[in-house]
Amino acid sequence: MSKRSVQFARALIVASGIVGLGAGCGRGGVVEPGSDGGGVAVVDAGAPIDGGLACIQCDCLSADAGKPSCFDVGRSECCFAVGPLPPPDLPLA
Amino acid sequence: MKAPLPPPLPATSPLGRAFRERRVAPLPPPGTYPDALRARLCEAWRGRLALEYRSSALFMQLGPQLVEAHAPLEVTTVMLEMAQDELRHADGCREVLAALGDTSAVEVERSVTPLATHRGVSAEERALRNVIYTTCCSELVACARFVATLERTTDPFFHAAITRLLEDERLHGQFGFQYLAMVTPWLERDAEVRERLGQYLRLGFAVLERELAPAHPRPLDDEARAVGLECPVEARELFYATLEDAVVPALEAVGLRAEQAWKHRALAEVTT
Ligand SMILES: [Fe+2]
Ligand SMILES: [Fe+2]
Repeated sequence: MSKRSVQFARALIVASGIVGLGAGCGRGGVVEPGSDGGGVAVVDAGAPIDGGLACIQCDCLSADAGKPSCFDVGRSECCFAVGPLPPPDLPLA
Repeated sequence: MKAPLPPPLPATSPLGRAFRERRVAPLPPPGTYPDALRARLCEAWRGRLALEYRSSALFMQLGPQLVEAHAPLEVTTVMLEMAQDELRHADGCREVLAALGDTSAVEVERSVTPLATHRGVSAEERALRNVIYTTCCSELVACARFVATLERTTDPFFHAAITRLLEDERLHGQFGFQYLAMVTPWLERDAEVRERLGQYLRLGFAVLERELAPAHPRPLDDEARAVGLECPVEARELFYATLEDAVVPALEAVGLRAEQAWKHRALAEVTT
């Protein structure tokens, strides 16, 4: 994984005027394929994912047969580094 | 409701000319790509175009929310400029597609999804929630992913096309932190707002993870890596690294309990 990209993100934060930026949680973010990455089970990288219309990038919504690709449902965020994503709404209880 | 994006306005159109007045860095000529790779590139850039277009409407709506939050006019101006950047990114994607020989219209969303209003919270808190989620979180992850992508993109055409996007995304990823640095005195005074923001982050982080950490990451082949296609395995790793080593410590630095929120992130209803 590109360490420079996270350093770049941290540099942007420091340049924004945030003082006292800590080192972070130190896990380095590396999640091995097949491991439990922060509560989400992942399949082995490269393992075939059967059925469905495969998204060209990641099979994100196509694990179940018959599901449309993420492009078709307009939810291809995981495939493109474009943002911003719509924030979830959380009304006061 | 989707509809094809209208074609580019011709050079003879005054509005088309006005739009082109702001110069963007020109792209070098594209290479020649095998048909299958070219098809993947077109699909990827068409998807990117549609998302850039949608992103714009989101930042546009943050403009009025910042007005309601009584933010300095410079802040609202920059936000609306960022909305324009996203439209120009969509145009940049169109340019990439045209260079690849794909001039067919891209389907874009015509309906605008209303921006979250977080009923019951103050205008200031509403704007801050949405700024944190969109720029400190989502756009900063995008920046990290762009940098990682650029590092392996050896094709000069795509390197230039992605660099052009990253140039604006740097500001998009920084805006939220600049805003946070500005409102820190208010946050320091109001423990309840800080507490509620911590609760919001629990949900926000979980939603972000669902959207940005592909659950079934498939590694990218070398041919695709060289032309800057997104690598889902890399995206997943970078999501966690950026959140844990950049976003969370930065939000902690302004007094938010981001580490707790990250640890206890949950899609289920969060008690506020
Ligand atoms: Fe963009
Ligand atoms: Fe952006």
